[in-house]
Amino acid sequence: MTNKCPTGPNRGYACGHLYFEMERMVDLLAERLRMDPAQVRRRNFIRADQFPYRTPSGGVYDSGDYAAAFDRALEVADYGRLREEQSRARAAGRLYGVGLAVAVDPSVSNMGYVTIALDPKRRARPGYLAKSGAIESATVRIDPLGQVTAILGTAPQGQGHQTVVAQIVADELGIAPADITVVDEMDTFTRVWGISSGTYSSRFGSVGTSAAALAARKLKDKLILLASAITETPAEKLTLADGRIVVRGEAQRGLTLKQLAGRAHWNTQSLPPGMEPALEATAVFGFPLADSPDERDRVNSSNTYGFIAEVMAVEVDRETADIKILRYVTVHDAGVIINPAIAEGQIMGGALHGLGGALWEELAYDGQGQFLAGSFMDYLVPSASQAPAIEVAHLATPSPFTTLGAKGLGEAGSMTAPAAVANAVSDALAPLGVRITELPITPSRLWHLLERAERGTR
Amino acid sequence: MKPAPFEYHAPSSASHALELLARHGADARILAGGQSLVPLLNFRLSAPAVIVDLNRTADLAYIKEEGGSLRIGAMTRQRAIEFSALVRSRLPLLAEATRWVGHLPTRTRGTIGGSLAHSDPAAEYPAVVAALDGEIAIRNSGGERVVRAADFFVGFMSTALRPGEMLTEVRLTPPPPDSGWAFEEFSRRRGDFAIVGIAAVVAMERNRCRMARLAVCGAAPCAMRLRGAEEILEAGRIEERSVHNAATRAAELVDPPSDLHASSDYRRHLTRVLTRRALNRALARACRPEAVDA
Repeated sequence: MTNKCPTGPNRGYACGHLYFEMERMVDLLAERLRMDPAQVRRRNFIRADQFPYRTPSGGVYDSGDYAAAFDRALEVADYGRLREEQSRARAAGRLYGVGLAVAVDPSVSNMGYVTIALDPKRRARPGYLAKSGAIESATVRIDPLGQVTAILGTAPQGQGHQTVVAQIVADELGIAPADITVVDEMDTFTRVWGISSGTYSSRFGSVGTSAAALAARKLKDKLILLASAITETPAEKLTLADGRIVVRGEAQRGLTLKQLAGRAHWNTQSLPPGMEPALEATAVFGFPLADSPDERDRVNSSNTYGFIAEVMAVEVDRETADIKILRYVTVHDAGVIINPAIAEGQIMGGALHGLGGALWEELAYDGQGQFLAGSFMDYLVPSASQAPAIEVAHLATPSPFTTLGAKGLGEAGSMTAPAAVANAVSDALAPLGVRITELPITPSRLWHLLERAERGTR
Repeated sequence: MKPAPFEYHAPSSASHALELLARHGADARILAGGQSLVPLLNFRLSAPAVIVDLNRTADLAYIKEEGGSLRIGAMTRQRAIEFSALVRSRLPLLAEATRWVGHLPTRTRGTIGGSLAHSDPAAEYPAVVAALDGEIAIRNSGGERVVRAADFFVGFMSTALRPGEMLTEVRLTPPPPDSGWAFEEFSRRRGDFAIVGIAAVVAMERNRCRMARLAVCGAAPCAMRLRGAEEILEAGRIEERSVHNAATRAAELVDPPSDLHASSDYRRHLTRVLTRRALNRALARACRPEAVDA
């Protein structure tokens, strides 16, 4: 029994904890083998030619080139020079460390994984209904004046879906993003949605963009069929550009979207035989590899799997135990990046969130179980003034399973930053034999570790 | 949360405020910049019956030089102090320490009088005023009394102020021209209250220290002068050893609390480290070529 706060879902759902332990272990292995931690990691990556890669637990990693992403991070950070700097710093008695962290960045939960909570024997009973699937929906419609509206099932909370969907639909329909109204508020009475709909598990980048692109493509196909009938031109000769449907190679021959929309709404009897009236298309994208777990609990629990590689350099003030982040390089493979500015915003936010868990944020209790961090005066969330310079780079291995090749990346450094900080600080303190086994690394905690180590070596 | 109900007054002058304080006595709390009191009200850690809001008083915000000392009105915003040319030239220690007080938005509202009267053990201003051996002017409806900083801060969030009284002015005498100063602080995040902060002033005469003043925040129930450490500096030639000894003595003089953010031992250790760093910077500023680098 406890009255302490149980772990709850948060950005990167426990991945910060998982990778902290895993990446610390990889560094301990490197230490044991007297190998460079970069070398140990590189040797163990899944190779680029092994994708899609089936993991022993049933996961299907869609695409990636982990070694290339990792090398990119080492290159941006100039890893060799950081190690030289470290030698110089150590010679001068300074505590300088370099930390590495890599992570597979899964996105879009397969509802099938909920099933794992039940015993396989119970699941094998007749009448048991398994769960599976990861879907998202979108609708695109054109009103009688040619105004395009996209309606989402993703229910965002500020992640920029309006901007990105406007881009996607604009590209498909040959109009400008500013000409599209995106409706992102959610009402389950009036919207198309599925049981897995929503913004969590970095779903938008993967299935959200797929649904929007598919709905736009459906509508585009219908517009072309309609224009083909009106202009008596074969459909394959028609294309959409600059708000018009034109005959390829004969830009002056064509109809504006507005003209087509007017016809479709006001003169439905003139539509080609068999065509459903109204200019509206809804697509529900269902991820192809989202099956129920098998009898051995193997399941592809997510749909797309990005990759993160990070390099961090820190210096610890031997007297105050203050940790200063000197370099923080983060490389992401989220497949095709649709909007670089939004991707970068997510990466920065995720990184700072991860740094919060590594250095500041703690649900602390005293020995009597009294909660000590009940306000933001004591639960320390990093703000912009705590942010180090974060250097972002990308590698893109498109997902073969999503419509646009994009993957989610919204959780980003919240998974890796704790591990990168712990590895960098442990590396800095290696001459004293101090290893980080607990987060957050507060200055008071770190100072006690330093004290004990220095007293021990005296 | 929202505050418990209270009666609200917004007097337009100091004398009007004093009348209200005389009428309501211990039931009244003074609202200055509100950067500490408003959160306390919202958490209902403080639930006064009456709030006397000084933000509309016109006669309590000023910085002026008079009789060789700087007089700063209680309602002077921290941001005004930060940018005052007079403060920068005559009291650079106060200007330097102001950079550590909260953040830009809180300094825009927060006042020097509010910070001193609130006397948070980790606040910067009480330590600076202690190190400058400042005087604090206190008024009630009957008149004025002046209290030395050393007698003003009496314990954990408590001061010499009595019911019906109001802190109206801080008087700070600039140290002699050949002195050096420094404010050092360690906090979890920039803008947080200090884990430990040290204010140092030294006045030199050739290689001897004529006057040393050291005050600490964050390591004691309230801002505290470290007289024992000052005496070591004033006793002989200034060299690396005397700075080291003074810093060691400073750490012995405090009995810091432990909390979520720092253990008592760590705070004591920081008191030593920051005293040394502050003294080294102050000595370097006092134009002594043989001063040790920080």
